[in-house]
Amino acid sequence: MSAKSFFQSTAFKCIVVLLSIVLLCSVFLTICNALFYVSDDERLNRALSELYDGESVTTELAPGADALGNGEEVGRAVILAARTVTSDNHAGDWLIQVKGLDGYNGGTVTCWVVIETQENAVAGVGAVSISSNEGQSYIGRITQDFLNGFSENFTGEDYPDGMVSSGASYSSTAIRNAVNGALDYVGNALEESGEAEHE
Amino acid sequence: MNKYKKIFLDGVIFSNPTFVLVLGTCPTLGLISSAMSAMSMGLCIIVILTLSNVLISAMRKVIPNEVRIPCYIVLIATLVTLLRMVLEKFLPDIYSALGGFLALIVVNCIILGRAEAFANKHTVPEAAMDGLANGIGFTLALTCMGIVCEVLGSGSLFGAKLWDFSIALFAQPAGSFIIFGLSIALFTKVMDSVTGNARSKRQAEEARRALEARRGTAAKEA
Repeated sequence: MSAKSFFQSTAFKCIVVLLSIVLLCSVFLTICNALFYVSDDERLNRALSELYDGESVTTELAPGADALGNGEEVGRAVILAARTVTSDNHAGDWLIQVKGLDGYNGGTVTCWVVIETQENAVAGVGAVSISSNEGQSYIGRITQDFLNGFSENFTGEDYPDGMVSSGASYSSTAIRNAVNGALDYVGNALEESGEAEHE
Repeated sequence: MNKYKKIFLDGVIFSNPTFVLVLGTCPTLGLISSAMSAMSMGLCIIVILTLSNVLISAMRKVIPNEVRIPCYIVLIATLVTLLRMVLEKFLPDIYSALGGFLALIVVNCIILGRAEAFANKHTVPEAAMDGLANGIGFTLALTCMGIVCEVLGSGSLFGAKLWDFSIALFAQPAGSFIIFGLSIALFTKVMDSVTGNARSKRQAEEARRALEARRGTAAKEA
């Protein structure tokens, strides 16, 4: 086949049309991504608004949180961010962004968890909110009642395996792992800071 | 009958994508346990189906026949990605409620089916009407089944608690499958009786005319 006949062929036309469509779509999506990008600050504000029922709350990085980098694995969870609440009415609360492992099909659920503290010890779980997930088709079946259960059933111990949400048992396992991870992380952090103060 | 009215009625009723063509079964079974999720998915399908039909119809003379399917998939995937971005930015609750099913719209056979069967053979306004009608048909079907499943499976309606009684099976895909099958049976029965009645009336009318014509001929002969 000569070069001229190739450029006049249907095959060449197909390649050009397909590549043009792919290129145009890529450019379009790049522009849209810049327009609709959800920043970390926006996600944090959304989480705070949900966790504190729209109340205005300010936070700052928790002690040692700047060393988290890409995350710190605690049990079956990865701690992504840790902040402490600085507003007077909720002072002492820790806000933990944590990824729970072992979800459906090996996926994960990332949650924001409020851990309440008192006198350098964990006092309870304030609230839990789902931030994002990977491959959890039935995440919509996680009810608010199930999430509220973490606040209501706090005993100072890790949450047991029996705490699952009907219809989304794997996703609820990942959420339970996330909350347990957040509890362990804050407990360890408070212990370390207590020891440091003691010394 | 006006052709747009015919396209609309075909999409919503006579060729309903869920009850008649039985397309898009994956999100149907996955999402109808909650009326709100079902309706949200339906609304997303309306948007994607209408836009994809418009785009594909507008580009039907440019896209070579040999690469039409890859081209359709790229266009549909672009629209779905755009929808995901918009939902995550402005409606994060719906975005998380739909979960993985939102991304699966790319391979939803209603979208590709209407692109292949209708949009690439018709003008842009007709394709838009077809997308809109099929999307509405899908949304109505999913919402109706979602209401039944949620009331039976969770004892609530659009998240509002009605009573404590519930049958857990209907909150699962297995229960959704039963409701789906019963809905198809009911829809087919209703459609059969409606179209059967119309057919009977038409036949009676034709018989009456034939009788009158025979009487007329007999009177003339007499």
